[in-house]
Amino acid sequence: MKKLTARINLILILVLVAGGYYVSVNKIDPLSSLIKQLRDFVLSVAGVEAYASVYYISLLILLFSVFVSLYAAFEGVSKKEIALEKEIKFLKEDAEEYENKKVEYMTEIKKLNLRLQELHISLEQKVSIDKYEKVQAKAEESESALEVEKAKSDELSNKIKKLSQKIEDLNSEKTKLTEQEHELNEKLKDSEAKLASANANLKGGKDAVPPAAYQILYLLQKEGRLIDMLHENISDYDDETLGGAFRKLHEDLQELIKERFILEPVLNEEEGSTVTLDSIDPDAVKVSGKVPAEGPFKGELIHKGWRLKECKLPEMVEGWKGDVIAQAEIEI
Amino acid sequence: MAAAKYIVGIDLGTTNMVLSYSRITSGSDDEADDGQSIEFLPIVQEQPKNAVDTAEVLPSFIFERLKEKPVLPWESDNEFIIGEFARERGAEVPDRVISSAKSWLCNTRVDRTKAILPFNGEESTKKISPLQAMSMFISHLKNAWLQEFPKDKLENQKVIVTIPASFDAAARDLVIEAAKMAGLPSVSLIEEPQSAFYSWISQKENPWRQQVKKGDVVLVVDVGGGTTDFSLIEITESDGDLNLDRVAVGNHILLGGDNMDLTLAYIAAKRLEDSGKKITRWQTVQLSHQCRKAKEILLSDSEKDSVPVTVSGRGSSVIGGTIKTQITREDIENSIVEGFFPHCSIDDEPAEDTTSGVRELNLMYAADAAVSKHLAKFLKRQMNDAHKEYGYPNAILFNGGVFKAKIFRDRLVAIIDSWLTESGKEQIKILEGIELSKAVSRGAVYFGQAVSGKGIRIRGGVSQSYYLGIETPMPAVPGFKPPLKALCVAKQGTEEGTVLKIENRSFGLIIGKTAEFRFFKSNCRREDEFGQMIPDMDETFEETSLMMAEMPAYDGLKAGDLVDVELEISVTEIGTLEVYCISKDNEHRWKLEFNVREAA
Repeated sequence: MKKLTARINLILILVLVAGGYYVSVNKIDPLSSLIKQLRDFVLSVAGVEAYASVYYISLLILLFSVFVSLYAAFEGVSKKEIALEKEIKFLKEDAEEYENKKVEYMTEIKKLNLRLQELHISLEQKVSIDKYEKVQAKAEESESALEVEKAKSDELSNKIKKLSQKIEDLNSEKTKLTEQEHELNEKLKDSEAKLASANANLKGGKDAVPPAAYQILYLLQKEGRLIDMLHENISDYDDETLGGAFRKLHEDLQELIKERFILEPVLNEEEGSTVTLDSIDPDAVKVSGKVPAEGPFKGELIHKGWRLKECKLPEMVEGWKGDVIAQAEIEI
Repeated sequence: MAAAKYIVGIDLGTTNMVLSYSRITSGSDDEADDGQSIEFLPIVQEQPKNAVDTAEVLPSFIFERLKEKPVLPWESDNEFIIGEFARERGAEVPDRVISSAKSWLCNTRVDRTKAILPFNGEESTKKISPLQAMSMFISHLKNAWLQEFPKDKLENQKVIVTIPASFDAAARDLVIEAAKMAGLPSVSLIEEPQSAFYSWISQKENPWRQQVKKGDVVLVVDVGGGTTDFSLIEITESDGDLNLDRVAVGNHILLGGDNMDLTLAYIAAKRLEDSGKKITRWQTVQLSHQCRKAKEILLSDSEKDSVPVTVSGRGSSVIGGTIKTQITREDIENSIVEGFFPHCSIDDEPAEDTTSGVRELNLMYAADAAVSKHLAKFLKRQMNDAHKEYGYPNAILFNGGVFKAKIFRDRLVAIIDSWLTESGKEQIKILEGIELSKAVSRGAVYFGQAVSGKGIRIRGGVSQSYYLGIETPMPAVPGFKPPLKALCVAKQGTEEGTVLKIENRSFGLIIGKTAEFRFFKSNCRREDEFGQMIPDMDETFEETSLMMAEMPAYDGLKAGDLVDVELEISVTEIGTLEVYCISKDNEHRWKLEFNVREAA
């Protein structure tokens, strides 16, 4: 297409040059001659006018073809540009790839360098480890020797420790024993005192104060005012005053005795009646009058006697403390 | 928990406590034990002079120690003495003693969990709450039990605690709480008059089935040391066998035998003062003891016309310091019989406390000593509703030491007969065979057996009807509170183990706030049905402790949100009343707790 238009253009240029030359040689007024010739050509085609019309037509065609070829050339240039851009792009990509590869290689190189260094180091180490091992072996040898020595000394110090422990134990045992001795002594004293008091109680000696004695006196005084009553000088009171006061105290004491001491008669027969006993327990029955050596014992029951069946005293948690059987009282 | 070996009845009396027990037998007798095998625990108690002793009764007194060293095996640093010695020291140092703790438990005008006892005690005195006091008694009994039965701890036994029938739901809760604090997590409650009735059933000399018949209404009159309690028990029949229904209980009346002794002591003191002698407070206490003895002698021996009462001199001059006067038969008849059991009409009401102005906050002692008038009021109230026959009992069962005296029984019977004949009814029948002083704790053990299926059981249920106060919606009027309506949440007689829901009524409660309901009771509105709304509240309603529930935020609901709830009521097996609010989606429930802290 290009060649064809180029040839057509060449031919047209030659025609144009030739036409130009012909027009300039024949001194033809182009425009008037064109209109004249066109008219003439239409009316009668002949000679120069015919050429002139051909020339103008060719000129028109030439102008057209120049326009067409110019357009084609412009189009070709832009196509080339795109192709070039593409090529540039490819090249850029290639360059990038190369760059990447370069970095890779560089790292590889670095790695290799490192490895090399490592290898150097391990080589050095190996050499020194060998040396060290030898030294250590020697050290171990001497250490085990030391250990044997140490074990020996440990044994000795252990023995010392054990001995001192034993000494300590013995010492503490000694203190314990002394303490125990002390305690036992105390207990002994206590029991001696108790025994003494029990003995005294048993016999009713003058120093006998069993805790229960305090307790019973305390209750008799608290509930029935017995101590107060017996200690009061009643000689100035008339019988009515005495009777009224005693009635109340009698009532209270009776209540206490009934509550705390369960009593029953030794003999259940009526007092004043005649009783006959085959044998007599002197602790329970007292006989008087004309007493035969052997039973049966027959006589009048004077007193039925009392037997303490049960004693319901409150339990003293810590024994009796002190010697107070009636507290002093203060009202605030 | 080991299987219970014993049934234990604890009588938490106002002035004396008793613990009775019976071994659980494996026999499958239809009848429970006849009471022969019931024993009383010897209760270890502190005595003066570092001694301990046992007694069958534990006097209900707590004394804050001065210098006395604790001696009981289970206490090394207890600041309080409990029992006999506490009573003795309390007479000498009255500011440090706590008495009648039980009656404080049902005093709605004080915070029963706050340390207020001894009431009006000095600033320096250590105070404890009525709840704590109760728990200390139970704890003492528990320890005393352990001394006797080291292998069978009390918490592993079946324990029944007796309470006055007049105790309201809040006071019942407090007794349970006190038992829990003392380490008894599961005790059951029984009303004292019911317990006395059980004791009567358990005796064999006068078989109860021969003494009552179907349709009889039995009036139980229980006058103890400090309280008077009335109950009505109806004899019904089903399947040919007799049943017992407790149909009414009276109000809490702080009036009893102690008041009689005190009355006589005042008479004696006045007589002594008239003769120019000065009586100290200590002597009044002694006089009161003497007067009790004199009263007992005069009541049991109709030959005697007077008994001397004597107080010995306090100093060592015991005879010279003695003061003496006497109590006569006339005193008993004029002051005690006429004072406590005066003839009266059924329409008579006990005098209200008319002292105007501010009344000292204390126990609500009965203002009128006339037991007969309190009884008239109780019976009259029964005639107000559908079951008028409950106002005209056919039989009477006496309980309490006071009724050992025939003169009181006869007088009360004469009064009731006058009421009955007036309305054309037959005279009342006296039920025989009850042992008057230990019947309550004995009966508690029988009840324990009855619960386990041996012997007959009284159907009691809720002792009175209970109501929530609901405000009537109305336009706001300044200075005028919207009137209250009463929603019946528990009908008198609702049986143990019942769970009921008020279906068609819901309440909007606000999350994050405390839901509060005023709570009322009534012992003479038998016809009100569960869930019924009573528009006008008259004097038959009595306000009791507030009920309230904290309403914390929960899943998704935050403070300020309104949640719709319905009410569910549960009468527990142990004899308490529980009220729950249940959200409508049924996913959340709040228990309404009695507010025993603030005065109602």
